[in-house]
Amino acid sequence: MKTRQFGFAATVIALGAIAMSTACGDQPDPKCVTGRGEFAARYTKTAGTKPFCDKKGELFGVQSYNALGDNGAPNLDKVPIAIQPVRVVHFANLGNGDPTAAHTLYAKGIFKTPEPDGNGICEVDMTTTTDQVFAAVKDSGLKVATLSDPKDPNSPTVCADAKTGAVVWGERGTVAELGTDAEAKEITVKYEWSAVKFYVTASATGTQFMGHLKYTQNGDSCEWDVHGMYPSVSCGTKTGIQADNTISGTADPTCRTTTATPVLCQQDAPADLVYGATVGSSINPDFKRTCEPFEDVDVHDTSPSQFVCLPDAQKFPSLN
Amino acid sequence: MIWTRRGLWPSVAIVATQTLLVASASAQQGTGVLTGKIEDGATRAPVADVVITVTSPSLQGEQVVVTDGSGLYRVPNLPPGTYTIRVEKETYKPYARPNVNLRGDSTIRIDATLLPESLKAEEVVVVAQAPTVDIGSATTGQTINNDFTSRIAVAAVGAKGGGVRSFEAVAELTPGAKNDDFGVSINGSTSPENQYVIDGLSVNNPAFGINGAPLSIEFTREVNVISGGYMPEYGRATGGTLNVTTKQGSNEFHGSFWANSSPGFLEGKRKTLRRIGDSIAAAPSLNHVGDIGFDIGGPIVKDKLWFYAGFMVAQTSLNLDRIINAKQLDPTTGKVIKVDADGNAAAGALYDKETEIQRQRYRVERMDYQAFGKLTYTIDSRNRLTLTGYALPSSAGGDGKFAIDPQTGLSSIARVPGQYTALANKEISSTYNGTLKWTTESDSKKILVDTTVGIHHQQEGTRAADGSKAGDTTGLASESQTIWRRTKPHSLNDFENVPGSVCEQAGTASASVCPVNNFTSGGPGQLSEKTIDRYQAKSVLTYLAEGLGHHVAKAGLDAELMRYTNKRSYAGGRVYRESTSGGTFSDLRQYGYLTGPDEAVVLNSLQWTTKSLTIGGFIQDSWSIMDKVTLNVGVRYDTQQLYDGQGNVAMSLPNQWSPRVGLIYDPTQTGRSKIYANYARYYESVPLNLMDRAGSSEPTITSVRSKAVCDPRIVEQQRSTCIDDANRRVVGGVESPDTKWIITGAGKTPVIKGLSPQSSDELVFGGEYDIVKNGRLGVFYTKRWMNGVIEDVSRDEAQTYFIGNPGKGLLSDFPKPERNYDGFTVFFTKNLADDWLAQLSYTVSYLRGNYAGLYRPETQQLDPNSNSDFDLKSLTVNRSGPLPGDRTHDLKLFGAKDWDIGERMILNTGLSLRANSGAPTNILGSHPIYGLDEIFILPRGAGDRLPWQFRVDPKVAFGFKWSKEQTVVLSIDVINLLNFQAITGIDQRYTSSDVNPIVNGTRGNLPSGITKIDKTPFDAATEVNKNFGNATSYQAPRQIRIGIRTTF
Repeated sequence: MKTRQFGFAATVIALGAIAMSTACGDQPDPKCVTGRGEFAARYTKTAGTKPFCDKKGELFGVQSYNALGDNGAPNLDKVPIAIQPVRVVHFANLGNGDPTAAHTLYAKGIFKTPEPDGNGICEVDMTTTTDQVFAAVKDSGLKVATLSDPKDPNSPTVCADAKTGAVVWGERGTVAELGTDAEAKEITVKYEWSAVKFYVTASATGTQFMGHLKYTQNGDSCEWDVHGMYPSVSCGTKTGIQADNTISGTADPTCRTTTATPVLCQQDAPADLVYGATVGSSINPDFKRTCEPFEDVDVHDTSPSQFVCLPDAQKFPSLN
Repeated sequence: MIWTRRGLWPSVAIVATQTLLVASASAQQGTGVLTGKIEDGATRAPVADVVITVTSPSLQGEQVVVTDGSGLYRVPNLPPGTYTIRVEKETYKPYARPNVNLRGDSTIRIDATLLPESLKAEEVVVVAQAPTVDIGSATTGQTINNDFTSRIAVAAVGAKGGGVRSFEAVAELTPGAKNDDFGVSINGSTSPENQYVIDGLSVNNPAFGINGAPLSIEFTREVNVISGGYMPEYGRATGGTLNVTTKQGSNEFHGSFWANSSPGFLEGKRKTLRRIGDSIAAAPSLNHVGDIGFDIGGPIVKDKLWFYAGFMVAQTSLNLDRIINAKQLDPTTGKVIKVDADGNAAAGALYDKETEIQRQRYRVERMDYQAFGKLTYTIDSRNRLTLTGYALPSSAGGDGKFAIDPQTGLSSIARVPGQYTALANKEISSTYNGTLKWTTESDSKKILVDTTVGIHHQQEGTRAADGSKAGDTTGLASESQTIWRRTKPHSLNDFENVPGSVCEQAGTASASVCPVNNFTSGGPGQLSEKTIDRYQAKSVLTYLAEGLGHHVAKAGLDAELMRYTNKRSYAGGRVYRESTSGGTFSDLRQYGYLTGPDEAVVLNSLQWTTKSLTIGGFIQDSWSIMDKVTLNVGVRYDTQQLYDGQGNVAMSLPNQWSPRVGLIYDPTQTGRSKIYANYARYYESVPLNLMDRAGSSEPTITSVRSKAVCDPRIVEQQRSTCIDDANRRVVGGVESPDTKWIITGAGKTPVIKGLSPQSSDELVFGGEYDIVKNGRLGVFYTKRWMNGVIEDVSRDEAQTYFIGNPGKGLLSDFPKPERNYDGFTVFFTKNLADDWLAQLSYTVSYLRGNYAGLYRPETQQLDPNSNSDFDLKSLTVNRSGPLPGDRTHDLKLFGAKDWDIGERMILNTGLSLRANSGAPTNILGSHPIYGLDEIFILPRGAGDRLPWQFRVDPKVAFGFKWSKEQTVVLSIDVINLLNFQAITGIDQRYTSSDVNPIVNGTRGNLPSGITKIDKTPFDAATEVNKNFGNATSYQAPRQIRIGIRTTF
């Protein structure tokens, strides 16, 4: 082989090498999906005058799906979603709702694009609403928190039956809504979503969302900007009991007050080990979050002050 | 002098050489080089234009070169074999040196001194010994050829590849190598990280990285195990390279016929394991391992076209006895009587007192067929063509038998805690390969081009025992498996008819006499059909040049397309699992997805085809600076693109620059010694399993139904009431829009932006010296460490996963993956000459870190780049320490001597001795999310070291020559002559409870320092595993292989 032919061949090799190194781009984008499970969402009121419009937030269950694809395999580019207010499920579990195919407990939507835009945002088209009528519910002696010593405002609160004063268990979410007297009230609720978007990157797949919610209860409406983060983690420490950063704590038949314990929202292992837990809060460590008062967090405890880890209010997505 | 257009080259620092462009270094892959310097005996000056003629039975025709201005000659591209070199020039006496043993991938230097003709007009034949030191390279490793394998007992009978005696099974003879669960581990890496090459074609399994062609050594000429220090022409491996050259024909007809047998009755007595647990025990033993075959080779046209063909059949058959025991209860307390290890009742003893009720023998089997063919064609003096093809089909299990697992080479089950139909599979594992190689060289032999194209095709099937396949709607593939695990044990009579009336009857609420804690019934569970292909083409150019010494420059380009089609299913559509209360059955595994809340699509099977395209190139130069010292320098570039099951790019791994630098100095300057140093970077080639599973998605969903409406033991119910939507219970939590379904697996695992490829670096220092005729003594030190690892991780405690580099960038809060290997080896090797050979090596090594490699030895999880090692931060605590592959001392001694008895008979005797220190062990607990044995309570390696293992393997062969070319040999190999049964595994589970790791803890912290996740106190009396520290496995017992072979 002549020198020239050989040099030519070698140049081809060199050019090939350079072409390879520049042609291959970076990794592909993730697909638009949501976090799967319970989100804790912060409300920022934009309209509404009723007292219930001042709620601090709510818990929502979110799930994403796949449309039917080729040969029965899932179509990973078409992703329907559902958003379900946990509070509404509690009402339904009392046996008073009327969930049907037409009036579901969840609201449905579908992602507009298979992949996020350049900023990691996936927008959702919400197509249905949560729409329920709950028949009258008798007050079944559910608890309300009162001071153990009414004369001492610093005494710990205990939960007591509204009528008899005996300490009993209750169902979350009902006391505040239905009042403590025996008068039965019917309640209709409607959740209408718009401008819903999820934050999706390789390391945070749909675990924060933002949206606008119009809520109507018995004909009165509120509107909120909603900012949700997954998973929902209770960061309240019950007095007298060691810190527990799982939502379903050990059964304790008396209500206690809780205090905010922000470290329970953190993910760092050292903090976890200090609290004697191997597993962290499960919230993405890149998210900026605060431990804030909330309502209706713990199923076994309806003390007025509950605390939950919420995304920082400043912007969406909330990042460190 | 050749000038390059420097500007076009990527900016890579290549140490000073004017001839930058061309490829360099020593031999072509699989071939050897003879080189040397010719001097005038009187004047000691170099002699130019000396004609060098090289011949060998392995070579078609002869090769002729002339020495250059400095008296140097070089004959490249020679097949391995025994050569004769003739040196001739007018006015000098001709000179010949025979018996030069040339190995593949090596360069042997033969110098000669020419004597003036005036002395005497006769050919001077020098019978001095040729040196054995390979002066062209800084590699470490070993070449294993027939001289060795016919005299030393190799390929242990019960191990992977023992039936066919595959090339991989002999690789563990190499210093720094040992067997691991899936093949051979080199210098602390794992077997999927090696490159397995046969005749220039990569034969790795493209989906898992392990060896994909278990070709028998009967068809190989040489197995060259390169453990480190290799040049850029070899890449895409962070382990070692196993380079196999296969046999070829010759100018004479030769062949052989052989048969081997290892019968079970000659097996040494096995130590039995005492156990606690349920009623079903097992006793394994050898039934028979043997093979029979023939090969033949010869000329079709002499010196032009040769052929070689061979065929063999091998059987591997083990026994597995299934033993049913009834526990003996104390009549007063109703509790099981406890006995100690000797069987005597004692208070506080560990083991259950049992009587055997039934024993049933199962076979565990595999049949291998191997057919091999090769044509070697010399087109002209400058062009040679080789066409190779082989088929290696195998089938294991089915029709009443269990299967040998194709990946581990061992029985796929240890005992039979269930029904045959549920636990048995028929395993098909077949490889079909074809390679075409074209070598062309210039007249002066200064330019060589070596081009290889090939296809590697694998067919793997995990089928039901009746042969039905993944996705079939008839046969066992359509029946669901059920896993029973009620806390109050079932009686064995719930599942089979136990003879007699000792065992509790069916339906018993909690059995004590014949309890089964975990039982598997029904169909075979997960099935799969896999088609795995590799299409490969490569070309390497070698250029010889002079300039301040001599250069052997090389450049190469190769492209590899891998394709993996995996069709998988759960027989009957799902696997049922009983709840611990026994009240419900859930779909433990079921392929399917939801299109909306509670709208389920159940998939009968799931199939993806994933692909990978890798393009690579290299340049290297082996520069003999002023002919005094050799500098090997080069760089390799690879880029790999992986595609998911939807056909999109799923992972992009460009810019894999592997620099290599080595220096070799021969103090004797006569090819008798060398001192060398080498630095190399190696990159991993990512196998396709990652793309098939995490990259394409494996959607699974679960539902639950009550046992009142569904008894999965009844097949009609599996197809009716068990899958009726009306019978599914409400399972979703309050937050779930789905009430009857839970999504357990969905979506693809995304890949982090800025992902770096996985790589490892290596430093080697060493020296060798020819101290006796045909023998050399050497030392070398190898250091290896990881640069970066690709793994799947979760930053939010298993809520979401993605693929990234732990310890880097976004994942800086994860510990850096480390695997540090330091090994120092002393060795002595003497080739077969004067009727004897010997090899001795002693390696002291330390393997420390928190990352074992492409599979997890603790669980045998083979999911390269997506094991559970770095999944959660909470899993990474206490993980650094001596890794499972750490063996501080490794001594290997091999020796063989031939004895001539009269003119016609020969006795070969060989002996191997092995001794190595034991593996480290750990103290393990349970993790709240990941379950058993995932928490390291104390730092890795805090448990007791396993004891030393010894093995003595003699081989005796008696040969009778009944004509000039024909011999008959009768041989006996004994593996583990003294039946040593050292403990090779212990129970490392300290507790089954969810506990916290004790950071920097020591043995003194047990058990008082243990804290539980649920914050209740740790009760050592009930929560410490009573079997902790007890033996779970022993060394394989003595096996004897008897063989007979006729060669002609």
